[in-house]
Amino acid sequence: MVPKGVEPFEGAEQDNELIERTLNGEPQAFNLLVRRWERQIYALAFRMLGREEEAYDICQETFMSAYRNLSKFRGEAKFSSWLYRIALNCCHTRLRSRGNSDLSLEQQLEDQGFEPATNSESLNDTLHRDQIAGIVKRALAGLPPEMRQVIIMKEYQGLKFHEIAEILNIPVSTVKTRVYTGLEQLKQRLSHLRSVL
Amino acid sequence: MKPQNNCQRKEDLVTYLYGELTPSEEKNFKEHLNICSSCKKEASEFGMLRENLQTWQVEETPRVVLDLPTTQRPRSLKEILQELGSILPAWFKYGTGFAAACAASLLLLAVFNTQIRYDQNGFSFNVALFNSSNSKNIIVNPQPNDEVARAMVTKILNDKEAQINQALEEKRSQIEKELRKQIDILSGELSQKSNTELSKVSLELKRQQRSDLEKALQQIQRQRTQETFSDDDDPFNLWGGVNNKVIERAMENTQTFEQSGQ
Repeated sequence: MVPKGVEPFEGAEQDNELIERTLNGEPQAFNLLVRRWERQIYALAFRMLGREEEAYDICQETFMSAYRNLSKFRGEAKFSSWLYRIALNCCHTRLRSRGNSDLSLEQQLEDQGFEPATNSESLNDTLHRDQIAGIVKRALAGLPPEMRQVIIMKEYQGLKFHEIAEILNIPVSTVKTRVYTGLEQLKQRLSHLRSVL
Repeated sequence: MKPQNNCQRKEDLVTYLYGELTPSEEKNFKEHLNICSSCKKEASEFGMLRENLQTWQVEETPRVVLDLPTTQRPRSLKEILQELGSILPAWFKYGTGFAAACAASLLLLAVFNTQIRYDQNGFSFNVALFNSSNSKNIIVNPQPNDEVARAMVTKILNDKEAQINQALEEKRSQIEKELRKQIDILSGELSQKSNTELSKVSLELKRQQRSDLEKALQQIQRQRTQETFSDDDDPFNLWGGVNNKVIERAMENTQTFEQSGQ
């Protein structure tokens, strides 16, 4: 249910202006920020966790946490970077609570009906876009979370290397190394698609 | 897993792949690609890998609905104070600051027992920590007349001495009063405590006496019971076992009966 008085977001105001309005006692202004960033945060959480329900929960947690701590946001970094950081922290907490996160995530994807890839010769002929997407999803789920998050932020969120470095509070060179190693591991994991690659 | 690319320019490779090299860096790396087959091969493979990664798109995003309060967001004390500061008029803020500074100065002067006086000797400034008798009297602009000054100094000294003596007397009587009061309180407490202790001891003694008496009574009763059960006619004395006297008497009777029968 959409709260009354919230118009679909058109992007007229800058993030900082909306933050100021919220801090000045206009909580509904925060909903415009939610409309602006919910898609990106949900996509990040979904790709990190692989489950729609959990991704939605993470989205809620992220925005509620941002709202409660809005006065602590100093505007030194971009609001989106701050949001991504909160979302990733929530994701990592969720992954830690799962225990053997990587294995369980892969297992989960298989339980949902995804067929593990085989090395059959006919694979190249039968692979469709959805199937490739399924394989990609599984391959990403198999990466360690630290590597997975940089690949997701770089490949899907379209963030610059220095932005990822800022979000994760690590050097840019470390981000590049993680992206390289992540791509290398993904290439190995998708080796059954060698003919496609 | 054996690394396929041993080239040291891996960071440049990913930066090139995502188009974040500067034009000069890009030109330089492209020249490198012409001579490094490993990087060239990897750049091509990563390019195709990226195309495959893009097949996984999140189509639908559920709309996030937050239960935000319709009223103002709860604010911290700091924020409230900041807002209060911005609302208050300038004269109030600066006036409050000035008043606080005056109050602090007065407090400081009071702590140091400052006395400022202006008389025929001129302007005098007296400072003493905790009203010490060794207070220093700084006289600014003294009069040149020595006799008058001496008389004034003597008068001041006498006055001061009288004040000190009076203060000492008052303090002594006050301390004496307090001490008497304390002694009264302590003696009262002591007598109350001793009474309590005495009553406790007396109770304990009574309890002990009662207990001893009960024990003695029980012992007497037990002795009486033993005497009752050790009757000579009872062959099986419950307290002492078989009664030997009764058995001996029975044996004698038996022998007499046998002899008479023979």
